[in-house]
Amino acid sequence: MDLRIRSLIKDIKEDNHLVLKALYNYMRPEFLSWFSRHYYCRIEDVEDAYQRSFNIFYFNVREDKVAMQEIKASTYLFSIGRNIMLQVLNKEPKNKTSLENVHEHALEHVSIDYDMEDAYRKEVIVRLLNQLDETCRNVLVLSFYRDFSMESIASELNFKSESVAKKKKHLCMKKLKELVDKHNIVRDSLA
Amino acid sequence: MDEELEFEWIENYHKGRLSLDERQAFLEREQADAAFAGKVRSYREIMDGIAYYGKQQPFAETIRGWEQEIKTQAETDGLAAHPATTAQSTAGKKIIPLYRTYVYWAAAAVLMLIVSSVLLLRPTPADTRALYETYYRPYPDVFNPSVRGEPGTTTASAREKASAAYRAGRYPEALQLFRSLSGADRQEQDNIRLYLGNCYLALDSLDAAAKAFLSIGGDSHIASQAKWYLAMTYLKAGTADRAKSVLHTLADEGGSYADRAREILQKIE
Repeated sequence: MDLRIRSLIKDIKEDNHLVLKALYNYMRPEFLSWFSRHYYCRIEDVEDAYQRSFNIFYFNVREDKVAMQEIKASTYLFSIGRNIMLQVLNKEPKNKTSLENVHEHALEHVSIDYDMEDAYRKEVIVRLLNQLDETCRNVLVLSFYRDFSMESIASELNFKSESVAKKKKHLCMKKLKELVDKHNIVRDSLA
Repeated sequence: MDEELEFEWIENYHKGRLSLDERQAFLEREQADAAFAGKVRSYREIMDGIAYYGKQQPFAETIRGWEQEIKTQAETDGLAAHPATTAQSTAGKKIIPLYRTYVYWAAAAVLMLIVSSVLLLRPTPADTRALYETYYRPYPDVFNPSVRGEPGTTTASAREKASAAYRAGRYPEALQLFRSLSGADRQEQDNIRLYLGNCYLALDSLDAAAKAFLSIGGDSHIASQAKWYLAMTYLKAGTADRAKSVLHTLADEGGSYADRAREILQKIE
């Protein structure tokens, strides 16, 4: 089941959930076990990291963003996982110096992807958006993903007026910006 | 400039809504003012991140569903859903003071109440079994060997015998015969897997049936059929969540099983 990425591309692009689910279930135990042993974190953090890593894995394969398609799916997933732990969840490895030699999955972490920094930055925003309340998330997603006008957002989310929706959007954006700044301070202190 | 207006300016630039002159002014300010340039960079990252959140949300929900299934299954089987903690939980057991056990019992009782009320609202195995009885029909023997095979050869006759047993509902015999076939090409191999799965399903070997249907790839000529019968297997087994997951896929695909999949989903959701 530990297939090369190249052999999975077709199923992933066709959104074959049977294959995706089987792959998800197959790689999960090893991922959880390895990251729990090598990082300072709770098991819930590793589960979170796994879901995020698999999500990135899925979109990168779908969008042809994997530069090295001959590597194993698990190697690629572990490489994403390491960056998620450090850059998104701010979790440090237990032993930075020996980590590269601990497991084959840790070896290939360079040049697997075309533009992963961008993906991790986005993943940070996803994590922080989940810390906002649902209304805030909806306002921001309608505005920046669905490109709704303020009038449409007000009507969709039952705000009294366009200006109330606009005020809410600004407040939500401000809160999110504060969370991002805080996250960057913590991340910089770990680097 | 007021913070709100400044953000609006950045947003309008990001969304390409500034006039040529406004755009020029924006770029000049960005070049001259490092603090403003930093804000632009930061807001751009945030806006891109929000758009990414919207894009990835449906698949993230799917993953959460799988994760939930794993945990539910692990609880049912009495296993830890996260292997790494199994050793820890058995190694470092603590002694809990007696008075604290009352709290745990109370919490457990409340949890039991919540869980049982949730379970009461969910489709029971009997419900899903009834749906299975309503919707399940053995897959018809459409891949007729007398047309596709080579009459007179051993393989063709074994295939014909298997099909004849299957058509007559003699599933144990059909199972034996289909298992002896290897299939000349991928298409025929998948056909055999589909009939094998149907035999197992009829004989109540539900694990084996699920495995047979799962072994038919997403790019197979009978991928939809495999999913449909996999859903039937899960319904028969009383695992509504799994059945729903497969039925949703069929409904979304919009093929010949989509209407029936939606009908069942309406009944169990």
